[in-house]
Order: sequence, then C-alpha cells, then structure tokens
Amino acid sequence: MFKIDKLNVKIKDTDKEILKDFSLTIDKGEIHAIMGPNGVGKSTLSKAIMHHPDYVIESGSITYNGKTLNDLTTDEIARKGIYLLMQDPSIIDGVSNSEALRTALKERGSDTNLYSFITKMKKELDSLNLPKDAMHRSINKGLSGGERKKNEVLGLKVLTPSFIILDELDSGLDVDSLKVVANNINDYLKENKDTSVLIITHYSRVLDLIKPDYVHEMKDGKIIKTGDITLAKQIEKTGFTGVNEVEPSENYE
Amino acid sequence: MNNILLDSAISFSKEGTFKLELDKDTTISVESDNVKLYLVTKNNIKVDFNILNSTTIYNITRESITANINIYNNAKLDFYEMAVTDKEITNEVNVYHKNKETTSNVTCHGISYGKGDLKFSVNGYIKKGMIGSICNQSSRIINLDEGKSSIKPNLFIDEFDSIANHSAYTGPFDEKLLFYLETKGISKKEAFNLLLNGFMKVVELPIDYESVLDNILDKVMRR
Ligand SMILES: Nc1ncnc2c1ncn2[C@@H]1O[C@H](COP(=O)(O)OP(=O)(O)OP(=O)(O)O)[C@@H](O)[C@H]1O
Ligand SMILES: [Mg+2]
Repeated sequence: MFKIDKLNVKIKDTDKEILKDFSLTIDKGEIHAIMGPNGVGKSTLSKAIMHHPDYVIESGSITYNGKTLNDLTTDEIARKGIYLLMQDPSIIDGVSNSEALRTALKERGSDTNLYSFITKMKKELDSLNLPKDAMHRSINKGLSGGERKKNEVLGLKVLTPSFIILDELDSGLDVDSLKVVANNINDYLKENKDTSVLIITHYSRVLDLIKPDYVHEMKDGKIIKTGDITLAKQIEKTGFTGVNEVEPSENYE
Repeated sequence: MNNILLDSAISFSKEGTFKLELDKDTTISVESDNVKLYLVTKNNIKVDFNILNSTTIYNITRESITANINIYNNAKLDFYEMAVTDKEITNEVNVYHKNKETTSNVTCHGISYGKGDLKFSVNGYIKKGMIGSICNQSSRIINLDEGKSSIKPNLFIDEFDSIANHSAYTGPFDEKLLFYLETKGISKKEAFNLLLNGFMKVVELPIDYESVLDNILDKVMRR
C-alpha cells in the first residue's frame, strides 16, 4: 500500500506552499489518476515523492508498504520499487541507456549478466518500436518528446517497479505511439498484478487505454473530488470545479 | 597504435592513428589525410601544429599547455582537449585559419577539483579573404569541491563570408541530471561518476588511450 497522509510541501528557499494537507491512499494493484489545472502541483507531488531537492516536506508522511519514505534518499526510494516517469525526461549526453540501466540493476543487487541484459533490452526496445541502437545512445539524446517517453517506459520494463508514477505519459506521444506504450504498460501490469499506478494527466484518452480504478481532481494543493472514469470525462467536458470558463478540450498534445 | 619518441619537430605524411606523449615544446605537421593524433601533454609546453589535411587531434592533460594551430588548404580540424586538474593551470588553444575554406571544431572539456583553477583560453582567427572558413568552439568546465574555472572564448573574425560559433559553460553538474539518475535507483556517488565519465568522454576513444583518462578520473572519483 502506498499512502500519503496530510502532506505539506514547500518550494525550497521560498514560502510557496504547493501541497496542503494532501492525502491519498493507493492499494496494491490499483490504478489511480490525478487531473488538475496547470500549476496546481501535480508534478510537484510526483517529485516530492521521490525527494527532489527543490521541494521540502514540511509535515505529513509518505509511506510505502508500511515504511516511511520521508527520510530516504531518492535512490533509496527508487530501490523500494517506485518508478517516476517524468513529464520532461532529461537528456544526458555521454551516459548511455544501457550504462545507466545496468548500473541501476547493479545497485539493486539484481542480475546484471551482460547477455541476459542485452537480450532483455533488445526485446523491450522491439516491443516499444524503438531502434535497437538506442541502447548504446546517450540517454534521450536526439530523441523527440514522444520517443523520450518511450525510452522512459523502457527503463520501467527493465527495472520492474511495483509502484509507477506516470507524469503526463501522453504528452508528446502520437495516437499510435500512445497505444504502443499503453499496451506495454498493460502487459507489464498483467504480469505484475500487485503493481500500482498513479497517472497524472490532462486528457481521458490515456485513461481509456490504461483504465483507472479511481480518478481524482486536484485543487488548491489537495484532492477535492474522487470518482471513476466518468469524473475524467466530466472534467474534459465542463472543466475543473469552480472554473467555468474552461472550454471543452479538443486539442490533444 | 604507435608510440613515438619525438624530436622537437615531426611530420605525418601517412594516414593513421598515432599516440604521442609530449613533454617538451614541439612542432607537428600533418600532411596526410585521415591522421588521428592521441596526445598526452605535460610540463607546461607549447605545441605548434601545421594542419595541411583533415586531422583529428585529442589531448589529455593535467597541466598547462599552449597549442598554436595553423590550418591550410581546405583542411578540416577536429580538436578535443580533455583537462583534469586540482592545480592552477591554463589551456590555451589558438586556431589560425590560414587559407580559404578551412574548418576548425575545437571542443574543450575540463574538470577543476580540489583547489583547482582551470582556465581555457580559446581563440579563433579568420583573417579577411579566408572565405568560407568555419570556426566552432565549445568549451565546458565542471567545478567540483572548491575548484574554480574560467573560459575566455574569443573569435577574431575579419571575413564576413565565414561562420563562427562558440559556446561555453562553467559550473557544477546540473542537479536535474543527478536527480534523473537517482530516480532510477542509482546512488548519488555512482550517478556522479556516470556523469563525470560521460562528460569527459565526448567521443569514443581507443582503449589504451581511454585508460590514461580513466586513471586520471579514478583519482577524482576516489578523492
Ligand atoms: N523548482 C521550482 N521552483 C519554483 N517554482 C516551482 C518549482 N517547481 C514548481 N514550481 C511552481 O509550483 C507550482 C506547481 O507546479 P507543478 O509543476 O507541480 O504543476 P503541475 O500541476 O504539474 O502543472 P502542469 O499541468 O502544467 O504540468 C507552479 O506554480 C510552479 O511554477
Ligand atoms: Mg506537471
């Protein structure tokens, strides 16, 4: 179980409070989605979970399978099985995908036999429609926004997390690529039934492909409404609660 | 790869890959096409290059060096400087475009650690008449510990019909990149080593030359 209890998060060296008494519980195997206007703090939430140095937890707790994550470092949190697919994945010149992922496996004490690693990488690259040589390329270098998202899904499949945060997985992906990526994630979830997912998105299209058990609406630093997929459809149609001027969205990034 | 004991002047008239350790002032002329020089320099020396044909030069150093590079014919030069230091040193690279349609790409990457103070002074000269010449400079230094650094990029361009670019960065590694690697479950220390290694090896290097750099980087990683 992943549990956030009355979490208050500030931006470091400022008085800017982004999360205010934010609470959310996600059980094993559940898929939750969070929707909310730009700047409400969705990415902040995802990064605060991973202990990004820009965000300070003032009070409240984050626990995973009964253990509190508050005092852990980013890499320790990741090794507990939490994987963040960032809204805007970094480009790292000079460090290859395979180098980083193999180091990450080594740090977990997992099998890093070169042959099985390469075989696994090839298989996953193939299922994501990424070129085989992407393995040896610098991380996300020379990739389009959508390809970078795919590359991050590659990391997910190699590192086999049990709790996945998808921050705007759908942004940058074209319709077909989104399907490929969603199929990959659904296959992974089928094989790993206990894995939970937190999807952050602006559009229900991704939720039609990766079906959430719960949809939450976020406002003023916390969740103000919880429902199912119909809440997502309603938000798309009529806008967020208390914001009447939002037009139904037709654009799809 | 060939290890060559050098006189103070040497010329390369055949294509190939050469590894040289230089510890005194030297003049190097490259006459053949497809010459790759892998240098390791010591002792605060001055090296003059006359480039008559397309050439790639790599240099690893922990000390000061002055490289004066003259480019002739329509030669294209790719020059990679790799400096790692905890001392006060200056790497000066002067590139003179001596003929029309000459090209230079100068990439300098450095690490200044401990109490190091690393200066890159990179100067490109395109005189009037050297039509169609291209002069690119890219310099980056990462500061670790109390390490300081500065980059002085200068383009002295008198010919309109030419292209010149420079970019420079000094500072620490980007926190975002460390965070990215840490979210994969890589410890800060290992993430840092990956970035350090990736930053210094901008291009693929032959194994026995790369090991020279590895030995130097190892000192930085273990400090
Ligand atoms: N590192 C930071 N420094 C300063 N302000 C920040 C930082 N990170 C986030 N903020 C601010 O915090 C607020 C929440 O940002 P966040 O990125 O979490 O929004 P979001 O809900 O993910 O928005 P979007 O839908 O546009 O992705 C914004 O006002 C943003 O400007
Ligand atoms: Mg966001």
